[in-house]
Amino acid sequence: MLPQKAQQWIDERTGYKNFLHAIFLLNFPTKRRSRWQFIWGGALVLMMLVEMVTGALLMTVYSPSEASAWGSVHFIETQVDLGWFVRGLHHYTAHMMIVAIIVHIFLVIISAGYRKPKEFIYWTSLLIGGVIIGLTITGNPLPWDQKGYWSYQIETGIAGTMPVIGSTLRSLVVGGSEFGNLTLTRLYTIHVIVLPVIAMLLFTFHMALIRRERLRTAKIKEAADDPEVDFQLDEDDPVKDEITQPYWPYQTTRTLVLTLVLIGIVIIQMIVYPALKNQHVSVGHLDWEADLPASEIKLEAPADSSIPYVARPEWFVRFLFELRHMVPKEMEVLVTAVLPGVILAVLFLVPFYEKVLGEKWGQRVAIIVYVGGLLIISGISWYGVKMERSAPNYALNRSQEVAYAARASWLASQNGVPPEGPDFLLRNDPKSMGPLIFARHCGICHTWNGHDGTGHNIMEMKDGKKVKATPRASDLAGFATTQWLTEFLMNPRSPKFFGHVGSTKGGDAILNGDMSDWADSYVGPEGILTKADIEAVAALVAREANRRDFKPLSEEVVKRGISVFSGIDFKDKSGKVAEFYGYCAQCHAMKAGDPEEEGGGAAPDFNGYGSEKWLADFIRKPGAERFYGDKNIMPAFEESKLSKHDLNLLVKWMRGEWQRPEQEK
Amino acid sequence: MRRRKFLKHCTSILGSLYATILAVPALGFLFSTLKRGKQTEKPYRLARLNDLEPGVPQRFTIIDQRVDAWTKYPSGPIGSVWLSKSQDGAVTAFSSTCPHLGCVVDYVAGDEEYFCPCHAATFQTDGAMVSGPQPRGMDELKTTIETIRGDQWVMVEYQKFETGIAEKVPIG
Ligand code: FES
Repeated sequence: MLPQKAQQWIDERTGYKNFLHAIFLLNFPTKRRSRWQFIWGGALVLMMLVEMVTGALLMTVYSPSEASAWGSVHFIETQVDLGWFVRGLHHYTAHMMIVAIIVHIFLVIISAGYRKPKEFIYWTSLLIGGVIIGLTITGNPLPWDQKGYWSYQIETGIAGTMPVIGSTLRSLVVGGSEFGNLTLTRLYTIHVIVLPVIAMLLFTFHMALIRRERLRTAKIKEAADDPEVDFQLDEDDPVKDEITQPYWPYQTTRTLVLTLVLIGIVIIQMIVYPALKNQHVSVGHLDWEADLPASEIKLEAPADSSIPYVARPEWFVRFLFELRHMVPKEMEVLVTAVLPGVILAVLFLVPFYEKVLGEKWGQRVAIIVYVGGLLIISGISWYGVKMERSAPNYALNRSQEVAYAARASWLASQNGVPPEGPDFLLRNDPKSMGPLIFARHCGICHTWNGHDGTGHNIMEMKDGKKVKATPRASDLAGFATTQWLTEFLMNPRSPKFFGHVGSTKGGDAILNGDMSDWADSYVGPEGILTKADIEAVAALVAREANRRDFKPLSEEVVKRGISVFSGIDFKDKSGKVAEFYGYCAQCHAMKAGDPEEEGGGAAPDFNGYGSEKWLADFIRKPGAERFYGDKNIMPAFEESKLSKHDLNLLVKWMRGEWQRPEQEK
Repeated sequence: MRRRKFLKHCTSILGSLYATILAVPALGFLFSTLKRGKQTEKPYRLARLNDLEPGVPQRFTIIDQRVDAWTKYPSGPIGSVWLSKSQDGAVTAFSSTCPHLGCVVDYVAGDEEYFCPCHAATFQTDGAMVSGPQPRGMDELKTTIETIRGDQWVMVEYQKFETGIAEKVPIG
């Protein structure tokens, strides 16, 4: 502390002692029995202070632009010391403040804190509550991740439905009609300057009113207690109940206890529930295993409209979102624009209830309306969340979102965010884009492990109903692996391969074509080929693809494969050299299996089979001479249908080639 | 009033707890972001020894990827180096960053001098100061000769130094 002299020197020039005294040592009257109730306001102030400090810290790193917002938040989460703590504190304390303001207003109502002359105190606290909600809504999209981006889409969409001012309001907060850089700079300005300044002005006004009211009560009390003054309070005057006590230390202690309890809950929440709302589904669905455990993800994937994400609004506007779907279309405006206005009016008019209904019933109605309203709103929200979670695809969709988030986070940690923006992390990643491209272009006919690549079933309309579609071509998961080829050779007619081809035009020639005939004659118990023969030739062909999971072949297997492929030196089940007419080289060309290079031409060329180049060429032109020729029934995917970039990602994904943890050096 | 005193203690204890919850992460947060831009010296392969003309300094650009906090930029120029070979084949390398305030130093072939155009600092070919406001001579960088597939290559450990002071202190 400053020496006495210095204190005096400053005080003479500033009057600070008086100022502090006026704030902390004034004999504020407090209700005797309810000192613990009136600390929520103070706790809100202290939490606001937490928000300001953590907010200022986040501002030193955060960068509001499409290309860097996500990257900077990811940097805070992963690189900055205690960054996760600061961001978590900022995030969860904001939500705790909404809870606190709900409790605070409830306590004000049950203690009749809106009654004359305290109407303005009550109204300013309502407005401060509104600003806090505004701060949460504008803060949530700032990381520009999927969650924030989409919930802001919904929230601005709701704002846009308001009559007359709706579209202007929307373009004002969005910064034009489309989301982008201006949306972020605007949000940022509103979040860090506009709303905090409004909140502080309201708070100053609120405190000034409270001070005025308390001083007035204190004066009355003093007069009543003073024997010299001829003034008696009525027996039922509420002031009789009050005692006078300075704010410090009596109220400060209690306020601090409550604040620390609330912040403690926030910290516990952050530590035991580190991922923002994605703990309830396990990552690891079908092909969607994430490379990181879910607990590592605190950010959703970067905002990108080409990556699937189910939009959900923030919990406290959830009920509007749900109601919107519950009412018929024409009534939507009532829900989104009129209802919030009505709620606001109902709360604002509380001081006037007593004018109409009398003090006792006025307050009762206010309590019933407040509590009832809260129950209805939470009921609707809870119902909405429950419905969403029980939807058939919820677990799958959510685990995909989590997997994308984990993938983006991992890629950013490995490679850094490219200057073009964080969405390019996923857009250039075969593992992320491959399934989507497959589902869009190939999934109509082909399947991938029975689904469309992303884990969803392929649907079609039948008799006006959506049903699971029957595939029309082979299942391509594991394409060009030894196992996949072996299965195919054992039974080309199986539903996994040519089984469904027959239903398409020209498909019968394939289903009952040379390949099936071949299998009928040479494979199976009667056939001359053993399982080992099939496996050997499959491995020989798979070697052309050279996928990353391909294991080098032994000399013996290669020899055996070549003998099946070319028919030279073929040994039958008993090990004797035998005449074999079903050798592959009759129709297929492949140097590695046919040293004399005599065959080929009648069926797809196997040189480089399944390699990136082969697959890309095939997809571009399956009807080329070296592939199916005039027997082809698969549509060609030219540049106009499938860009080079997408084709490359698709081919890489089908071959299982993407950046993985174990590839690190 | 014992109760009042007790409550005062409570307030200060709880108040400091509150302040600690904010202060500790704040300090960690702020100071960890100051680590940005620290680099370690890293060798760059710049030129074949035989390609350098004795006595004529030549400037080479250092190309590398640059990571700025979260953004990783593709390869681009991050600095440059003056390489010179003496008649007996010894190679010296100077950072082209002027030790005065960090402009890029030129070489004036006619005068056989390095010259910084910003505030007219001049240096001898061995990097020593001639005239001007600079507090020290040019910053020499470590060089090594490496043989790669029969060719001798000049490797330079590129590094940045603080400007404006008499000592040569690496940044970071
Ligand atoms: S910066 Fe080179 S002389 Fe000043």
